[in-house]
Amino acid sequence: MMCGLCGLLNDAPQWSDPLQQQSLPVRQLRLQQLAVLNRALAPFRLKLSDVHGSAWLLASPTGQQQVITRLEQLWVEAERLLKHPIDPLDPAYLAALKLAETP
Amino acid sequence: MTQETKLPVHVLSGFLGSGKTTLLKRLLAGPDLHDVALLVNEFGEVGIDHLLLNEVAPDIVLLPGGCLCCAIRGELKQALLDLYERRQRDQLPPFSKVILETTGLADPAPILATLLHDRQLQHHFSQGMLVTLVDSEHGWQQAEQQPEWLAQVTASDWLLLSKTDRVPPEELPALRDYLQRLNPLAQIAYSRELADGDLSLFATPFNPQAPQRFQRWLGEIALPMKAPATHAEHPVTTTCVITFDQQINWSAFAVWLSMLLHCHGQSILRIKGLLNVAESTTPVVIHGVQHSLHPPIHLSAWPEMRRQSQLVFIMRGISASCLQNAFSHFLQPYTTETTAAGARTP
Repeated sequence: MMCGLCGLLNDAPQWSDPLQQQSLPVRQLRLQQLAVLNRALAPFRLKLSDVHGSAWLLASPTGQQQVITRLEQLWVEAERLLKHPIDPLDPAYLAALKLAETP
Repeated sequence: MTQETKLPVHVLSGFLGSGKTTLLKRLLAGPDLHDVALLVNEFGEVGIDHLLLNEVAPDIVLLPGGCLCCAIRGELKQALLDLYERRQRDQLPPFSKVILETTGLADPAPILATLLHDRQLQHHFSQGMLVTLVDSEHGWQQAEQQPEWLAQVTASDWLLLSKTDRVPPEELPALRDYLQRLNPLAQIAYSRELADGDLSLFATPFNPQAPQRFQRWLGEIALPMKAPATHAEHPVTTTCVITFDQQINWSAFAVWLSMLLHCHGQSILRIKGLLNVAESTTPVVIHGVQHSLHPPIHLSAWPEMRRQSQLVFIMRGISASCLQNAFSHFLQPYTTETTAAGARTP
């Protein structure tokens, strides 16, 4: 489905969407999700930013960009930019995650 | 259409010759026949199953083209939409559930993915129970040689042992025990014990009036009174139970699980769990098969167990400690308390 105003594609609800029962406004839930995603991507030096509250923009350190509409798509595109798989079980990834949080 | 009025699609699977058609004939022998629409899958040139079942249920749609795998997901979609349209036009009785009999070689994951991800089907249908028949006579052999058998057994909510009259009674407990260790989340029964016309197999576990049904669906493994074992060996699968008392941030959990399923979806055969989510007083149920996860379900109240998050993963080729370590590392900052999550391996 495409938004008539901004032309952005809006996909069907995903299981991973913020829960509707939560008391926070949808916008705030989305920002919360964005912060989590940026923490997950930080070890790969990838950055995600919000686009009109309906999509994300994935950027690599070399300036490559990709519009993302679904969480599943994010991992596919991130791996395409990185040219290697993103494995949340990889001890090196977990170590990098911890290192990124160390002040 | 609301979640409550969606028609559940129950899946009956089982390896070739496990007795699916025989069971269906028995189950549909009851008076509530018109409540059920049946989808059968032709395998091979001749629709033998169709001929057998045609006398039992008039509302059969035969899926052409053989195996229900990714290649014909469109046909499954079309068959379901055709059923729905005929129901809306009063060309069919107003059935309340669909039972889909798969071929013996079908992997249930693509079928569930079709149900969960197709935008048209999402509006009208929901995923029901997954029931798998296990041939008692050939079960051991199929377990070792057939990957489709493993996919069916590990994905199931119910495992029914069939053809039990063909093996010595003293051998049955060993097979039953083997299946329980392979899929600790499944309820196991003997198909001969089911009464004709008994469709209770396909009762939804998410009924607020029957919390014990949900407890059974979640699996014996998640019962709080069951003493956790510290070690278990199984030649095929590993089961990891992660429990934690803290509330967890849903978005963070969803990001982690999405990342995990993207990378290891083929190895994560089954997930079930209920979560104590921050900012929600009631538990959230998740369940999925391989890459396909059902939308989270909000229960109206906590079942009769501790107010504790419980996640069960049945995996192939991933160690429980590895999963637990990754879970703790990633999600620790998103829990409301600082104590570490605990895992046990049954």
